Amino acid sequence: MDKILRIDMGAKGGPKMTESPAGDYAGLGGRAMTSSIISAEVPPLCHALGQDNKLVIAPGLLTGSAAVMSGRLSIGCKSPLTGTIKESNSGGQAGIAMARHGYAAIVLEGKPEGSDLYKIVINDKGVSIKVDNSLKMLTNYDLIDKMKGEFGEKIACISIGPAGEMKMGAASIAVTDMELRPSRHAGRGGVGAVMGSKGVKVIVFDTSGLKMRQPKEPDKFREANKKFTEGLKSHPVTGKGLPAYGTSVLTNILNEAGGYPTRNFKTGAFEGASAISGETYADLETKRGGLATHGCHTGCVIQCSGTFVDKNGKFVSKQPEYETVWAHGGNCGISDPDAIAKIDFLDDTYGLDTIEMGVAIGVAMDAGVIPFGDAEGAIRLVNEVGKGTPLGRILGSGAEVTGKAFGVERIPVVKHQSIPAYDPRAVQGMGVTYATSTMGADHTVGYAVTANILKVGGFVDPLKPDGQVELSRNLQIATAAIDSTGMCLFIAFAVLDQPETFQALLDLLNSFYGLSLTGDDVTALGKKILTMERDFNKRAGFTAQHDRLPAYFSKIPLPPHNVTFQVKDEDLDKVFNF
Amino acid sequence: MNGQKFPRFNGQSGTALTKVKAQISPNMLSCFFPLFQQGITVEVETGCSIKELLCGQLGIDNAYLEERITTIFLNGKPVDDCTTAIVGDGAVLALSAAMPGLVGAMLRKGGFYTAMRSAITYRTPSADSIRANGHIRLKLFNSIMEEAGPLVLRRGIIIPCSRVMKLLSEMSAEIISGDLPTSGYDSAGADILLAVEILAS
Repeated sequence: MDKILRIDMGAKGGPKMTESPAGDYAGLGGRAMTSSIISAEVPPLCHALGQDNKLVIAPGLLTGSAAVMSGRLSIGCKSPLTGTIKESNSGGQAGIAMARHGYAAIVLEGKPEGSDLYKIVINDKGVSIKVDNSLKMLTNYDLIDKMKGEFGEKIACISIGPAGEMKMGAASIAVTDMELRPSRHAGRGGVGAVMGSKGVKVIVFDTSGLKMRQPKEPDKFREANKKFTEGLKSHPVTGKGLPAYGTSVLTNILNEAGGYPTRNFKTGAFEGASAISGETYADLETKRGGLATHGCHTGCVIQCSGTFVDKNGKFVSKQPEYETVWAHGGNCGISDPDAIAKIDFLDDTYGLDTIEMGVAIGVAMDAGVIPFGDAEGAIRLVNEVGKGTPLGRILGSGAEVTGKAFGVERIPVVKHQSIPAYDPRAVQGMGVTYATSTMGADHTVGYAVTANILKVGGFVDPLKPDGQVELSRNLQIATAAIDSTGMCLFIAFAVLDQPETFQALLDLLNSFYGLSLTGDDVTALGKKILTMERDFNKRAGFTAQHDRLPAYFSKIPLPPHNVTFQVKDEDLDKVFNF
Repeated sequence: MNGQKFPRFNGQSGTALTKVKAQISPNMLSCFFPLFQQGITVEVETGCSIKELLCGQLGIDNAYLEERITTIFLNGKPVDDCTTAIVGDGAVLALSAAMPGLVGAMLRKGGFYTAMRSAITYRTPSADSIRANGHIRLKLFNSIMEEAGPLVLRRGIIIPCSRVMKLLSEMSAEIISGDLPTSGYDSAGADILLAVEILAS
């Protein structure tokens, strides 16, 4: 994994590719790689859908190795939704295939003239780029069926659906899973629109005969991997809660805490929550013959995913994740698990971010386009997005555009991106992260390793009034670093509670690369990434005034606890004081 | 009707609950999962701490409370100290195992990230610590449903008769004592004290 493939999609005479050593970017992976390239090479004031933007696809440092949980793939660009730098990551098999083909990054540059659509194929003979206009407006599922027919089953794909081709702000990039379904997505920030602007429909990796990446110190690596696996399996979250119920296990908890945004963030509790909880989904899946415990990529030992089937046992979608179930469920007043799973499939096949779509539909419901609770109406709206009707184009542009189009005041976005499934009035620390994230409102940017283990900025007293600002800072630093390893963020729960599991993670990195990294080095990497991203955003015109939640979160109390967001602006401005 | 009589939950004087005892096979426990998530009514002595209620009255093991029930809500507020939070009559108590995500970590009792949800944290006792017979709504989530659910069921839960009939028919349960009301009784609205034993597998 020491070379970078660059494809200039706007070159005269057609796309031109060059392969070079990683050079200045050697030793980087995942988010560190994508943000480094974007920060250094993309003019911050460029149009996100123009020729100057770049789409960078990068596996993590350990992706493609035998390290468990290491299959994540980062995709970066200037976001057409937020206007900020963007890293969106995904599970699935393509990161592993890409790393094993030796690519530290694939960079799509330039912009083709005309409307041809391209297919990139990477196999042991090299890389081919061909026009294939028969793929136009194919949904992700139909596209992958076509690729299977053409190349067989030993492939992994990165693709866009119609939403990406239409360059919608909510467009995602799909990654195929172990069953060759395009069910894993780099969802946030409209990365699919950037891929669409480059004219690339699909990248197909031939996976036959690929060899696992080998560590420099095999014995130490094997031992670290064993300890890391044991740590994950012995922890109640990664060893039991997530495998049994999936991420939707959070539904009941957030609802009980009064922090479950309901009907476009009007209240913090949804009366239908238990009908769409992780517990209920797992029970339904088991009783119907689906699968309640399943991984999204090879080497996953947490297995937080699943397969949702209908009453006749027919595949509907992968087990929808918590944020999806919330966005299309409680946020829209919908408590029908079958309808939500169907919408999840539609989002996946059209290539849409489930959070952005659910929030956009919630805003549209608030405007009276359809009533809250109208599951069939919500399905119809997602289909309008997939077909690109005028209403669909508005919704597919995200919650903010939808709110503006329909004159809604309550638009839950930060830096133009929808706020996810945790109301910042109830869980104010999450609000700090939403407000200050370099990516726009994002729940994953502060999702990782404990500050005490990493000792980022010293021990933080969680009871201090400004504790949540410091915690948010430290979590954002830690997450930026973890996003660079290729590790699934869900490892954080075990790493958070078990210092020996965190040490095993460091040992994995060190033995794979022959390094001697410490927690301080990980911290330094996280800070470096955030500094780069903040600098890009500053040059793109973002100021401290953009690090704010919408005003209504500070003014309108959230039932049942009737709380408002109370963190002061001056405290938000301290988040990046490091 | 030969069931034992208990004070009626809705507090109407002169009425009593019918007690029905049933046995079910272990694989039928999941029929109660929707109820556990929505909340079941149990009769307890209120005015005591969460720990006293769970360990002293419901029979939950101390170590299990410490290690497994890591997320607790009293009337919708995350609790950090089970020994000081007082459960009053009519309270809603929700129990969960450790949850994923930053929010899961924030909501844990006494966790490192409690400051991040300080706006909703349970702080001072919201109920008198005067002991009295009362009722609470108990919610069990995720693995706590499977692990502590049988204990709670064995002790007895108070639910509407119509729901009992539906549940027992779904489970093909065997009633080992007590009778379900049939005629001459407001069977749809009446509450039943249902005790359920899970048969050994």
